Amino acid sequence: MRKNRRKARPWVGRSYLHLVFPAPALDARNLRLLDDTLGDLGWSVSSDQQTPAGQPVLTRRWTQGENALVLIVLGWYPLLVTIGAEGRANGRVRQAERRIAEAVVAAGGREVADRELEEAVTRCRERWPEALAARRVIEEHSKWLECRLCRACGAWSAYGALHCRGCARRFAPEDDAERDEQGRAAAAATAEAEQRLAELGRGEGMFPDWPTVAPEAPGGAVVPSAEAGTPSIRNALPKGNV
Amino acid sequence: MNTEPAPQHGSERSEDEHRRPGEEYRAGERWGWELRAPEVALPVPFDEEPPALPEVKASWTQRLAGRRDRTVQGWTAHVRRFLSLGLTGAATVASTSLPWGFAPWITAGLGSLTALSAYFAARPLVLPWWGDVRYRRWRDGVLAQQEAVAEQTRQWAARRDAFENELLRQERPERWEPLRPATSHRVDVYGGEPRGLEALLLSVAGSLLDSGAPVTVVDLSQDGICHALVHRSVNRRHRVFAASLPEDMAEVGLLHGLTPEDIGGVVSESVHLMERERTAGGDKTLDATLIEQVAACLAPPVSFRRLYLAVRCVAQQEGRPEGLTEAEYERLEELLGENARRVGEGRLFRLTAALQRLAGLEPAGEGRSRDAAHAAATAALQVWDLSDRVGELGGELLAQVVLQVLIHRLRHADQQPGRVLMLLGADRFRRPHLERLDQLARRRGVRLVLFFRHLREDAVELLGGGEAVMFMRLGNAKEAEHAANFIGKDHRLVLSQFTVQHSSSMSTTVSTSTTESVSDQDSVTKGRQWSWNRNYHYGALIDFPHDSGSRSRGKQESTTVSRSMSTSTGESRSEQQGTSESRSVGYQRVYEYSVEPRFLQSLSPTAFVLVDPRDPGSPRLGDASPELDAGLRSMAPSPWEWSAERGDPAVHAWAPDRPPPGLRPPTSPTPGAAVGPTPPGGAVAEPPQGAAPQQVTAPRQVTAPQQATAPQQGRVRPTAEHGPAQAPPTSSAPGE
Repeated sequence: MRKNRRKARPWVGRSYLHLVFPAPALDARNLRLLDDTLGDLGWSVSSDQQTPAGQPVLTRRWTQGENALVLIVLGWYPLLVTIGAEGRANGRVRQAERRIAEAVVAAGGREVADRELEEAVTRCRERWPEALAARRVIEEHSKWLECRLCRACGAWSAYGALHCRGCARRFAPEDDAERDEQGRAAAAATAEAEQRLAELGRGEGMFPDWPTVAPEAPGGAVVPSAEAGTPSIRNALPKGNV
Repeated sequence: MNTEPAPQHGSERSEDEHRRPGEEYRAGERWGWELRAPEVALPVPFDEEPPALPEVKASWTQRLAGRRDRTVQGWTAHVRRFLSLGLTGAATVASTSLPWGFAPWITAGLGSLTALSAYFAARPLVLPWWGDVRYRRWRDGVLAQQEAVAEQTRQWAARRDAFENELLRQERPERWEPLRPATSHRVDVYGGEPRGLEALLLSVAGSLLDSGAPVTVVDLSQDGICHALVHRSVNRRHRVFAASLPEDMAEVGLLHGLTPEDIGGVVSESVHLMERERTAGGDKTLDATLIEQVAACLAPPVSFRRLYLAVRCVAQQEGRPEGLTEAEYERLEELLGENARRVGEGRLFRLTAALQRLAGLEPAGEGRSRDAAHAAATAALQVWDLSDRVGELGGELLAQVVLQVLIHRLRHADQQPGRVLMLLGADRFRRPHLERLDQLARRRGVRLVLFFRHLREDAVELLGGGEAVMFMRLGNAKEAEHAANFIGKDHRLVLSQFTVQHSSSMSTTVSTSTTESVSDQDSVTKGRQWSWNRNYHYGALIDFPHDSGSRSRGKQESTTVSRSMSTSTGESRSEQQGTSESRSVGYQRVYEYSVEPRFLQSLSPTAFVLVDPRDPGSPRLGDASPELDAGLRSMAPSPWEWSAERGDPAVHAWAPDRPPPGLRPPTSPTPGAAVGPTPPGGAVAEPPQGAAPQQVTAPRQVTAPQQATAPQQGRVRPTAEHGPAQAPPTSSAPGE
């Protein structure tokens, strides 16, 4: 009975909420989701919220008259944030929080209760080195996907080049076969790492009941950077800190 | 052939003494342009790990949640709590009026109870407020921590950007680069059409001339291939000696400087080369001896006309002609006895006929002037161009003479390191003579470049005899196959089988069943019953004994007739449908041409395939298009510097006041070539101020091999970097 009541009032009397997104970081897509949701209620992003290009967004602030909402990123892989009123919470603030919670849940996210927050933060911290390791694997193997090695002189040329950049030798079919083999192995290793990165980004393993379905969003390995750059392997993590 | 020593660059010479002679000219040598694939930087991971988010302690939320969970919510709970608060409060107040001595203790106890009730009543209301206060305090702490992380991240991003920028600096976009053979010796060029050959000659000879190398071009193609080069060289203020044959035979002085023995060899070889069906033998020796002896009777200068007259005199076909002196005539008269003349009469007639043709080509007039000899000796570019106006027989004979003259001049020449001899129209010569020319050129340090219009007959036998081979467009299928065979074959994987199997099946089963049953039942039941009972009672006190009894008898009979009928009808329908599709791809390792003949047939006019065994990157695809040259050599000085009005004698050693003899301006000026608009009078117009060679902004805008997509699978050679201007009939890249 008590449980049902709490469910009906998700904020349980508090003026803040914690949310987890099926995305590795606060990317442009999620920012747009939040901005649009609050924009419908008349909230606007504070003018001082200009994050330098290539750096991750760590905070976000929206205002509506004298009311202000502040978002703080608490964890990555998946994205864990807390949103609360800057001052005293009134009805407008609570309404905005409620709408945010609904929008995020509709987008595949999940609310995090107070009792779960500590563990969620801890898990995000534990997953961060794992994401870095996966990213490292991707970066280390990318050279075999973008370049080819000349066995004669040791120089690296573009993957599709016919002549070696170092010694101008024309690559033989044996060199091509070796290159393709290396490329295949690298592609397999990269795919595995990307898969792991995607799982971490989607938040698999964070909560037993979440994520329920795989989100359609590219919240996995390939993350559009904050400046909406082109997704690529090198952007497997946002260009900034993530 | 110029026998003067090649100009030396003193300073460069001292620096490059370790090089082979003539190597200093190779720096600027350019046969065309090769489209190089973009060079990417090796994606090296940035070693430094990005800063992590600050460690956030959120244990207070757990405690707060626990307290909240322990608090019963709902309005009834609130009513209960406040009711108990009221009751305990009222009881506390009431206890103050108790008369007992220990009443204060009771009041105190009730007061404590009231306080406890008040705590529990107020707690649900206070907890959210306290939670908000605690949250804001916690959030401020997190924000403060994040500021430090944000600063670290900024620094880390700056370091990473610097690292990536350093990597990006190693990248080079797709570009055109000068292409030249690795070898500095003989190069054979096969195929091509006049426009393409003109572009190639313009590129290679022009670049060599710009580097200071002396170049001799003998254009026997009768296509005017060398004209653009001459005009360009004149415009670039190179010393040019250009002669058109046969109009300028006197200035060229083909027989100038040759000994009687050489003249005998030149004439006899030329005559015998014209008679290909005859086998070489004593006739050639006899001819050579005859001509040698005749030439020995003549005083220099010896010309074909005088030689012809002399042979006629020896054959006693006429008296002393005007072209011979009395002394010469007397020597000729005494040259052969009657018997010898009779034996060699047939050969004399043949030689007379050939010499008559040559003499007819030779313009009347004085012999070679001193100015012409000086101009030829000092020219950076010396051009002999066989005119297309000369007849077929005369042109062929003259071409053979020119080749023999070249051979003999080379034989007598000193070492000429760095000099380049280009022979266009080499198809008409036999292999032994070209090999002899090659041998002499090697010995004298002269680089020989042979241009064959076709790859057939003797040209096939010569294929690969030099160091590098260059193929331009070979339209003939057989010639293209010869070239492809020469370039070679290699193994590759090709898609050999692609099978798609699609099958679908559908089955429908309909079954109908009808069951009818009829059952009749007849039953007859008969029964008979009878019963009899009797009671005996014996009483002692008040009853007396009596007995009673009854009898019954029954009989029944029943007959039942029943009939049941049942009918059941059923229909079942089942449908099955199945679809299967399978695809299989098979690759086969094949041994095929590295460059397909079809590719060589479809090359653009100025494109070529360079095969050089010394070049590990061979075969290479290049393009000698003048548009490319003009666009890519934007750093070169403008060619529009020379004006005939300046009258600089160094510009045009041969004829400062007129164009090179016998050379017509190109009917359609080649874009990018240094010919340009020519005003009346032959002076080259000055360009507008600030005009510069037009920059080719994109390689694809010029008529040049097109870039194919970078292969990710399989192998594309050699068209991964280039392709023919005319696409082959199929979508696959040529060479695959």
